[in-house]
Amino acid sequence: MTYLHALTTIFVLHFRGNANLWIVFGVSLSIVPLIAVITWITTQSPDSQPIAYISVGVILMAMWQTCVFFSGRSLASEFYEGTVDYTMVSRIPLRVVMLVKSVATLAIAIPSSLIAFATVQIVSRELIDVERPLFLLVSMLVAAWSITVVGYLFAPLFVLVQGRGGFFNAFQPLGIVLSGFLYPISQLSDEVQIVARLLPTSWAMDSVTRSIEPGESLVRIYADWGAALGVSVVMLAATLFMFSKVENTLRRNGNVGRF
Amino acid sequence: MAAALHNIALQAYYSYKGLFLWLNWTAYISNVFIAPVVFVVIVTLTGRFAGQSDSANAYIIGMAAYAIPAILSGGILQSFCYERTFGTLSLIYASRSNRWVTYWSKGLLHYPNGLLAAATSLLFGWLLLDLDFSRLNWPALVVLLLVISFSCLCLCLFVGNFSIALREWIIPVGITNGLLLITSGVVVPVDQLPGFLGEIGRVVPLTHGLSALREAFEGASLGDLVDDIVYELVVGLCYLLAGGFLFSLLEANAKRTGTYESAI
Repeated sequence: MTYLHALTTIFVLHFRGNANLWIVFGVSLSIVPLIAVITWITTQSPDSQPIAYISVGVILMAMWQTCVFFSGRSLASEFYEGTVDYTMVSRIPLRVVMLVKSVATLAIAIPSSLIAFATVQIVSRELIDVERPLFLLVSMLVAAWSITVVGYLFAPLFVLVQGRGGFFNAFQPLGIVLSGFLYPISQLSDEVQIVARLLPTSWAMDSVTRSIEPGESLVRIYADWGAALGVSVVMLAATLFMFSKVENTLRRNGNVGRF
Repeated sequence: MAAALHNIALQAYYSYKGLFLWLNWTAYISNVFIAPVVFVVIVTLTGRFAGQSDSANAYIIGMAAYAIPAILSGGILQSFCYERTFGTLSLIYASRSNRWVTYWSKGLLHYPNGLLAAATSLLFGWLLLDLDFSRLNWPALVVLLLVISFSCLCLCLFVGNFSIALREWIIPVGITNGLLLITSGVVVPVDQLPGFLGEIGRVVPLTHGLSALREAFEGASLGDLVDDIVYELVVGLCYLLAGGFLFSLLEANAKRTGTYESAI
């Protein structure tokens, strides 16, 4: 019970420390103009499929932008703010604290995701028609979890490579390209598609689009969920390995407050 | 003269080295080389998905040109903001140096970054997305990239003043880039923008330079493009003068209120 209370406190602390209007405004400013012009492009198509596709894709794109940046910097922020010492000596493992922070970051992304969705609706003036709403809901949850896992991976990675300001500016758009948030990844070359399939988000996005479009097989949606969750597990294992490297380095060097 | 040039070079170097925090390998490569190319890919592939294959060239050229203000604004605005955050603004206000030199030197070493970002985007547009270079007028391309970089640099220096005043650079960067992306014809043609946005598009840098750049890719000669080039330069100069004036106003206000460290 005490453990659960501590986890809740971490969630609330991270959420309240980061969920403010300034951050929502900043994140929205970084994506809304791009979403507006992307939507304009899709409105030039006589087909309604591209608009339906990006209507849900931009929600995930906004989550991605927020999670990669804020989850990715979460461990490094512990160093900057001098709180890593307390996290290290607490009874909750560092990796668990950071995972809870990554989940909290997803909650922070909700307002900008809604703004992203609204932008598409305002520019396109079209409401999407969803074939299987329940499947779409589950697919979105799988996609949100996939994004959380990728953001979580960046937390130890950023520290291990000693990343500094501007580090994420390439990864954020690169993830949009490889995850297929704005177009199916079949648009990418065969070689790049292989790389894209190493991200759980590309599988999750497939399940999202299959839930929207009519005539898609349910088996394919289940398979996409399975693949997204499977790749997430592999990614989680890699992340935990990186966390152990960070912790071991800190304990070995005795520089708890500095990496 | 040599001493003056040395002074400009020194100020430009210190400002760049001390206040541009993306000056490390991972961040520099991310921002100058990778991010611009990825944005070109995003917009072009979305266009293809929406059946706009015919517009691919226009999107690639537009996004490559947009890479210039995108990197310049990020670099220059953080330099202005950190001048205040790191406490060096008061030293500038206390010094006897020429303010125009100080102001202008803040952008000097950022200028090549815009050219590099645009050139990389065009190169990868050709390698990955089949950008057509067959009819390109190469001298016009070089001149236009230089001119667009100049005008965008002037805009970024102008907006940099707001970074000092607000003690914040990410929001001004977002506003500047967003405004240019929407209004300057990067993706949406200016004549198709709703009323007031189209009017904004006519008075921001990039619009005329980009229009000329697209014509250069169709084989237009420098003589055909002279109007757009001059207009782009004039827009840039207006922002340069307005920005310098604003920089002086901030200083005057800081001295009047005795707040050297904060400008406002």
